[in-house]
Amino acid sequence: MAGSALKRLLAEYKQLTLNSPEGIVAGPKSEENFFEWEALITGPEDCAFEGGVFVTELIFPTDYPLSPPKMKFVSEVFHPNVYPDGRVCISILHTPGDDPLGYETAAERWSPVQSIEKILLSVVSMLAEPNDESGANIDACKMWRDDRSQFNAVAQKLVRKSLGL
Amino acid sequence: MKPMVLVTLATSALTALVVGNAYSQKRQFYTTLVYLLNSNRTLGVLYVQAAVMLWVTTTVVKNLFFGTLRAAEVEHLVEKSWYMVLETFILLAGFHEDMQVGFVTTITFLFVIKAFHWLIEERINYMERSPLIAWTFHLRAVSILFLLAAIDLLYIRYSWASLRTKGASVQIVFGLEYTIMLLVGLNTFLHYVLHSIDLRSEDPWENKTIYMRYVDIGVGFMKLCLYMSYMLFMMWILFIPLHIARRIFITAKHFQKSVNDVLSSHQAIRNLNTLYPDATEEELRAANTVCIICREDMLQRCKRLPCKHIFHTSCLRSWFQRQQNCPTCRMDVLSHSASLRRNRRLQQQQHGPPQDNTAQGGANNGGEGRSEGTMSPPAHPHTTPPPPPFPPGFPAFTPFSMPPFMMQPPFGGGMGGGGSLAGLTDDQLRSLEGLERANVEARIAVLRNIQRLLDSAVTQMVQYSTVMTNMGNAVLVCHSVSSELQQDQDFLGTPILLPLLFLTPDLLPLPLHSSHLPLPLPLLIQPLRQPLRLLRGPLLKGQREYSFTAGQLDPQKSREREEGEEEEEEEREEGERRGLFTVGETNSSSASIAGGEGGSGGPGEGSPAAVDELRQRRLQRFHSLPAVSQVAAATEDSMSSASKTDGHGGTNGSSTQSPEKEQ
Repeated sequence: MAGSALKRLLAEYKQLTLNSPEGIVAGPKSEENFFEWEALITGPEDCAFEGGVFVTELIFPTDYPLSPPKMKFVSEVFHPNVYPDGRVCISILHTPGDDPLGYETAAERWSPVQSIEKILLSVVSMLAEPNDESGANIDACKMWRDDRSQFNAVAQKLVRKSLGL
Repeated sequence: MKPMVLVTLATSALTALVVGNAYSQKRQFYTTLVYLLNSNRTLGVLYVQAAVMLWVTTTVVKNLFFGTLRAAEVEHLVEKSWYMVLETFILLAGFHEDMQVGFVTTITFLFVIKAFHWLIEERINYMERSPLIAWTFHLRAVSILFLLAAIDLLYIRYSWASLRTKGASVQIVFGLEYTIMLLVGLNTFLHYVLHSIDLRSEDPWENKTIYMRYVDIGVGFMKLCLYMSYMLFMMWILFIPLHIARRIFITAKHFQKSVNDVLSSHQAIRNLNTLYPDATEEELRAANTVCIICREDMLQRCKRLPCKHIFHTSCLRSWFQRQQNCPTCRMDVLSHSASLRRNRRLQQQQHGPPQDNTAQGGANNGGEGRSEGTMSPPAHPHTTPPPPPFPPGFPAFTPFSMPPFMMQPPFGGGMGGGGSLAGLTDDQLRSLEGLERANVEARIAVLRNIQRLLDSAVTQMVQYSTVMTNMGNAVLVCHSVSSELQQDQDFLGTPILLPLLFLTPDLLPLPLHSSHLPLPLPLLIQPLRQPLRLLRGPLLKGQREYSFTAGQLDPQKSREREEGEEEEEEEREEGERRGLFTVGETNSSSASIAGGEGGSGGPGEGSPAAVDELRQRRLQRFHSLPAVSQVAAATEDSMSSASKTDGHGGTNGSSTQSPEKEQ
């Protein structure tokens, strides 16, 4: 049997397949490489991204779960906490040594207790409630704060785009 | 694929046409050959044909041994190729007189071979990620590894022969390249062996990572030695080999990282073994029986942290190599165990030796008792004068003056060489038992002292390497690491440890300081740091990966700093990001940090104007980089100018540190 990282990923895959949380589908891109996953996230209700289906990509390090995976939106997303290139900026994806924006406390960082499911749920709640204190996308941050209706319009456009409309 | 086939067919047809035409004109082999080689046009066609042939061969070999490449592999290949191209150009600047057809061919061939080395390395690393490894994978991997090793060896032999017969030429460079590739191949092969062993067994192989690190350390060390000797050799006979500067830096960094990893993992294991008890059966049954780290059932070999959370020993060990806190509740286990230790020591001081005896009585019961026993270190020689429970003849017990050879059976004389006990009365036996017990206790105490010495040596090593990692932030980080040692100040002051402490004056909790030492540490490591920093400037500009950034600094530690220093720190970070990190800045800011922690911080004098000036100078130099000789001259130049700032920073540092010492 291969390393413990693979074992844990298999375990998480099994668990996610058996009872996946609402609005989330996740699994490895191919059965040959369990360290690259693809996840579909549905925009939660009552927010600008409602109804959208966003494709994301998770890349796991070989020492998972000791180090966090990297997460990236493949679909285009305009959001204060998503970098323009799609990388997701949430605290549980950072190790205590690495704090790109310098505001997070150690308690909200990555630890092996976290799981893929928790990451995805955090991203869903991030979509619903952006954190404009730590902007990864400054334009989105500014628009979210100053011109909410325009932000909603842009988000709705992207939702339609994500659905292929 | 299609266009390549067309191109191949077209060039082959063209070559056939040209050769056929020449032969039809000349009708003889040698005249045809002379004709073909003298005409520029035919020669051009032949070169194109050779290039296409090489491409076809490479593709065939690639398909044979690697199949289709994954996207990540292609990406890495392209990235590494760019570095290779850059280094080749730097190399060409030195060997432009050798710039001939043969040279180009050799470089192209080298590139192809190198690309295969990169690919197989990538593939072997991929083994760890895939649950499905077919037998063809093993066949392919082993055969390509041996093929590459054979090519490397052949070329090394050739260039060695050339070095001996023709003297120093460009062949040295190729000889080095192939030797390095041989080492990389060896590394890959050893990784492959380890992965294969791991794949065979059902359970994850815990020690694999440790073995992998040892392999990395061994091969890294060999690479580093090779690069260094090559560099010295080249500097001696030809010029400064700038083309390998980047790789030397990366190799050194990688080597340092593996050494760090091994040290931290040793420390983690030691902590696990000594500080935390094994979880009992009841605890395992009572707890949720899934280890939160690996998501598997906990049946055996589990540890319980002071916060009552239970994990697999192996999982916890690998986690502690990264962070010293509980994965579930993030309780800082190190500080907790330190306070636990302090409490115990206080208790011992109050109750005296009986407490010690009970702790050691538990030692005989094994299990939890044993780890508890080791958890409480013996009382300090200075704080509690040890009671004299020893028989006469056994030397007075002072932990640090007693060398290990005192460990011989201490009651040898009294017992007459272990004679029979039959003739003794019950009372006599009981008193003998008491003696025996005291002796055993004394031995345990001595062993513990030795262990503490070793531990502190390990801590020193860790600190030392932390200094190497965080250079500028050295004082800051080490102060926190040595906080544990700080509790044992009197212990540190003992003469046996002095030589160790001389190595790392910056790390001291203050009883000794730089003014006591012949040379302060920053000055000692300055010659090492200087070339690296210079290289980092021009070559690695914009390479975030290889420059020291704020990310490496633990934010908690940085928060401990005083507010006022943050501005200065930011400025320094900016300098780092631009790859224009200067020593003067580092020293002044780290000194002021140290001063700040000591409570008497004078503001560092790394004035922005001076920094800017230096920066400007560096930039100018970097822009005037057309030829290697100029670069070399500029390097020497800036080295001397930087050493001036060094001196300035050094005096500055010591002046800010001196009040701290007086405290």
